[in-house]
Amino acid sequence: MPTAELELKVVTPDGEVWAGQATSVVIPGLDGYFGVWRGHAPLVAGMDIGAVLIKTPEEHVVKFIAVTGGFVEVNQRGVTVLAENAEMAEDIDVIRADKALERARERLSKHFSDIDVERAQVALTKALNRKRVAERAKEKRTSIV
Amino acid sequence: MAKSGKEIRRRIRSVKSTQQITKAMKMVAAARLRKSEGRASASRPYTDTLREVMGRLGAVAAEVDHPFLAHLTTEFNRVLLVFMTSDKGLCGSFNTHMISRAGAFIKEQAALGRQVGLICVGKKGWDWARNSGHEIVAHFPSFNEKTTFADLKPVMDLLSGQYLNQEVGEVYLLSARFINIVKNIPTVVRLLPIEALPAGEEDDGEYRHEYMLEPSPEELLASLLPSYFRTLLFQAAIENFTSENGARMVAMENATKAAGEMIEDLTLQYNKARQASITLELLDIVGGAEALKG
Repeated sequence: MPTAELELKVVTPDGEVWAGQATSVVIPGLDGYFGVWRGHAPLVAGMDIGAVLIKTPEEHVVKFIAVTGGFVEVNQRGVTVLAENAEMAEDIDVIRADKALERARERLSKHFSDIDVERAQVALTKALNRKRVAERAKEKRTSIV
Repeated sequence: MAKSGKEIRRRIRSVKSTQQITKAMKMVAAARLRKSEGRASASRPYTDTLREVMGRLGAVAAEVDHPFLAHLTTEFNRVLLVFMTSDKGLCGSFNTHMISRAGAFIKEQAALGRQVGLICVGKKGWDWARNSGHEIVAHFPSFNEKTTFADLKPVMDLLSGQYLNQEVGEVYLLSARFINIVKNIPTVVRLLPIEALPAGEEDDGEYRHEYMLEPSPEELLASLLPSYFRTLLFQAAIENFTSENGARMVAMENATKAAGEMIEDLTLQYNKARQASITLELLDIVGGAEALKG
């Protein structure tokens, strides 16, 4: 019987964030969250801002990674997550995320051009995402919000 | 004796302080080189994987119309060149080589009846373009070892904006490709439309057509291609900076050595001058004593 694990790699332009064996991965796809287990059909999918959940073989320890967009490739060998930005939940600086959140909210409350609003909204989502991921990791909530 | 001892001594002091500066600059260049090499190798897994994925998607991409993949118009008389140089000098012939390559490129394009709009990244290239009256579309400070993906955004937006508005037919990039510390090659690559995607690996051939694509191939490529494009630019920026620091390190190493040789020569000269003056003085004394005796 083949092992029930898959090779997982999470890489960003600034380096590899996580690499190793996983029993399952949950990906924030552009069309919604989806899970990948071993034997998943080959797939290339766009990724949204959200959390990547990794179940590792060691007694199902769950790892949380906050990602901001990118792609995921699933093939026979495993899963590769190509994120523009990725942060392990335990590395997230909640205070900094809070500050970014406040900044974005402040910018949104004043009205600038449409581009500024759009940018502030993206910043808001990113900050919110990082905060949420950090909190979820602390509480070990694995269900999708 | 050409110079007095005092003059030579002053000169030695001045060369020594220059040598200290060149030595310090060499160290700084070496440190920055290490850092940017680290960045380059950190981003390599991402770049390689992205390239692989793009290769495997090559077959799909051929069926999708995307402005980044094919010429928007076949008749155009303007192209853009992203021209990477350094902000600072004292890096040997690095910028000179880049500039002569840019000059050659502009001539090549002129022969095809195309005008070149320059986007200068780095002050030295910008200075050159201004002085020689080339068309400058925009200029940015040079990228460095701290450059992140986000820093490239203004350049990216400008490029794709002009390209998609059909203001230009093609976009090129001139940057130094890093070979090793003493060697780099000014290289021109076409950024847009993206050159034929790298072919997929043999062993993946059988799966290539089985890929599910989410959301749709069009939407997926619409977000993959800009990312690929940006990765190319990012890689080039890092390599360019690494090359610059390699060149500076070598130039400063040479300058330090030359200063050392100069100090040696001057010290010899100084000692000769000192000895000559002592001999002269002795001769005077001996001559005086002889005269008194006589």
